[in-house]
Amino acid sequence: MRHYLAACLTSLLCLAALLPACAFNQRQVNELADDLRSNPPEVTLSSLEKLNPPGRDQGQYLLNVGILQLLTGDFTASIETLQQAKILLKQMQAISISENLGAATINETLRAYQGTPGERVMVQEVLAINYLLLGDLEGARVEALQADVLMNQLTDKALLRGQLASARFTAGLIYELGGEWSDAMISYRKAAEAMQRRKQKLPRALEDSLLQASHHLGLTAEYEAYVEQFGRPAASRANDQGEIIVIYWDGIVSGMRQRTIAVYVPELEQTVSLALPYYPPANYQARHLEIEVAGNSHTTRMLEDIESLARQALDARQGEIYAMSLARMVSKYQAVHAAQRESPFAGIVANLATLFSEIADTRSWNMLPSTIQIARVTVLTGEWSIRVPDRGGAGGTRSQPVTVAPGEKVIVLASQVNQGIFSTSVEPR
Amino acid sequence: MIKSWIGIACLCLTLGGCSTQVTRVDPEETIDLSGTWNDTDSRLVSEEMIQDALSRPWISNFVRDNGHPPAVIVGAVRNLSHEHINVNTFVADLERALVNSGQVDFVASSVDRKEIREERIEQDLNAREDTRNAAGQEIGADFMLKGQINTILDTEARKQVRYYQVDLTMISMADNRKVWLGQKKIKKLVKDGSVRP
Repeated sequence: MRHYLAACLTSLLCLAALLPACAFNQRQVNELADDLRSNPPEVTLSSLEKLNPPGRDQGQYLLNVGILQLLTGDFTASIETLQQAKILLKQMQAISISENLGAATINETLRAYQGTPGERVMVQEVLAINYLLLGDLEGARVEALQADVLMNQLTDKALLRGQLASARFTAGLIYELGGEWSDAMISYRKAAEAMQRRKQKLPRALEDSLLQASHHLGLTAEYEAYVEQFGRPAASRANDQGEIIVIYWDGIVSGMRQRTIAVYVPELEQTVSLALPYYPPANYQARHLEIEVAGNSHTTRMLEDIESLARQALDARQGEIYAMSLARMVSKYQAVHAAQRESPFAGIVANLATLFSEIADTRSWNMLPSTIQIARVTVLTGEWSIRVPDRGGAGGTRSQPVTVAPGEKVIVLASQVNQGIFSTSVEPR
Repeated sequence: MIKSWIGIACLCLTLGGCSTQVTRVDPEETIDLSGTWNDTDSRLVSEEMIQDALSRPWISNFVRDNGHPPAVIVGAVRNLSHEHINVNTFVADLERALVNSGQVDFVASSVDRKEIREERIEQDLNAREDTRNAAGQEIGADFMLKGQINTILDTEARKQVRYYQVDLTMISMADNRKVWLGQKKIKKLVKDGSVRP
């Protein structure tokens, strides 16, 4: 019996020694995400690729690698990585009994990373942008359709779970570029609806999209309602004009942190430790990209507030997190109590092991931008300048040229993180 | 209790994947894994389209009027579905079957033509005169094969009905007439597992 107990205690100690590695991996990923605020994405990608995350963190790893590949301009690799992430996250939606047991007895990090509903939709959105930047409108359309199916699955009348205005807008844009105006109209309406339900002000670019699409489709009553609501008609475009459509990713979304509460409970005669994830107060200050056209400056406006979405996703999980923490506390107490009955030393070791094994799940897609902003500007053909805010947030900007040919729509993805822009030209159908 | 706690803890930590296994299977065998478009769907489409294309009168009508087999060019086959589908697989099957039947000629697509013309220019500069192929000898296509794949998805919880419709059209280059319309419908019920290891 004593040998068996010794073996058990050794296992417990090994377990306690192993588990901080989970926390270490999470901390490293969080630090790399923080580094993105000051380092180019190439540096962060290289560091991230050196990590060897456990299988259960693979989903989070792929999401972060995929978005960094996009920010470094490797769209093909980003598509490959994010397609893998998409499949993995879908598979992880099924319940795992062993992982739930692990979460109820050891800690939440033993669950495979599933992604929040918003993150699952965001994968489709980022994939669609990748395909767009490769000039593959059909590929982008597939992602837009899949995002629509997913958002319809996630939809909940009371909550806006997984309903991303930015994914709807991107889909609308893809349909518009493909000449599918009725589908574009539906997507723009849904983007506006998601923002209105979140009590957010519609960006001018979305207003313009609603005006254009309703005007194009001859939806007179709806168009006139928009004209009255937005105070302007749809902009007309001459043959020698084109359009610049900018999607701007500003900042880096906050990462979760761990809050540990260790309390000695006299009734239980042991110290109980609870580790819970939380978001620190957001100190994000939005900056805006500027498009200089013929002496006029047009700025991007917020379409998606990912900072808020991340916090809402954690709030939505709080009940489940507390319930699981309670179950874990009871199972750990019983384990320690059983060990104490064997010997006081075994009780101490078991108590230490349960304390060390208590780690909060702070995993998230933490290399996403803080906000997604958009702008649409009708321009004369020629070369125009886009000013991307500096990475450091010191207030400076970096100018990038964009060339527009007659009748062309130029889609631009700009990010504060890479300080550059990626663009693709589409001749509308 | 402590034994079971440690047991569960160790089990949760050590659950890992097994090594990769490879089993060779017949290409005709139907294996559905995810429920998305796969090789079997592509094969079903090509079989249906080939059988239909060869049994319709558009070929015999053309031969009767012109005295030679029709030349066909493959145009755009648009993927308007919810999945990334490689349409080249069944289009290539269809192309192969029609050419091998001896009833239809296929000419190179616009992308292939560009490469071939570049090679011909190269030949003009570098190849021996008696082996050169002259420009201006290409066969113009009589018909263009176009098409699209559409899907309708109906999803409820972990169940999904996936309906695919593949439409191919042979259009006369002379007068835009549609001389053949091929269609294949595939419907699947996909149930995602609710429990995993």
